[in-house]
Amino acid sequence: MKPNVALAISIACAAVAVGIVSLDLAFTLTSALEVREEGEWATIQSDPYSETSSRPRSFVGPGCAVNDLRIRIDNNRPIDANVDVLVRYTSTRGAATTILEETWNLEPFAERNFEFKVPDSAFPAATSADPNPQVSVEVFLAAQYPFGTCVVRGP
Amino acid sequence: MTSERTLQGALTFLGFAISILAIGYFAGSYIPDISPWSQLASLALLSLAFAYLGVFLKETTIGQPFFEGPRLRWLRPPVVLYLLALIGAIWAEIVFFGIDDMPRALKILISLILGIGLIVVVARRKGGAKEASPDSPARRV
Repeated sequence: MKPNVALAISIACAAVAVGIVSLDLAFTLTSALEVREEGEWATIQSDPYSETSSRPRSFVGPGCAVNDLRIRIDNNRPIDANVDVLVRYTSTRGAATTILEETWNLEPFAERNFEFKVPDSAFPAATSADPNPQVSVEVFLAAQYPFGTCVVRGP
Repeated sequence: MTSERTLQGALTFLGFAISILAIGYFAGSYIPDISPWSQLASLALLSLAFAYLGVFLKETTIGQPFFEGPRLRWLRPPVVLYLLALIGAIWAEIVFFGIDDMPRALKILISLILGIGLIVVVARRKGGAKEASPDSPARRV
């Protein structure tokens, strides 16, 4: 094989590989767990999300000082996307309570979000053993794959 | 002269090492975030890119060994690039096995056909090259 032909093939293969990676990253589902701080939404955790991913990604967010939360999903792809969304909270001394369990159908380049709070009733009374009761909020995208969690401090 | 060649070889090796680390960082940073089929395609193409770059460099002055001496004469840019192509191809194969969209039996069948086909093609090319060499018995008629 002529060296120049080999070089041309090499450059072409590398360019197409970089192009595939760039396009895939650009056209993807992104999701974010956000908290409202001083009137603005700040991201606790965000992730590129693959609908066909078989490897769940689990993120633990930092503790939230306030209780205004939002899960936001952006479909940056030119095709429809269906995402199973499950949001639940669990106190340190109680069973899990589901806030939202739906399948979201997102049109191409559409965004959808869900704002929620953990009700005061979810927080158990403070005791000497547990003076600062907390509630863990978990967000799942697609089956049991945990996307993000955060801990909400009591009122 | 020897020390100058060693310095040239060391700098060339450093250049290759930095470039390869950059490509490895790109692959490690972005490829895990994309869909499995895109991972497979990009890894396969990167492996081909490395392999063909090795073929190109083999014929150039850069294709010479990095360092003089009998122990390190094997360490040449084309060899490094062929090894990287090998690593990329193996990584692509592992990604292929992890794809959920395809039945397992089909994945195994495709991999076997690809692997055995590769062995057969290389063996036939080697056999053909042997027959065409001036020392082969077929030519000594």
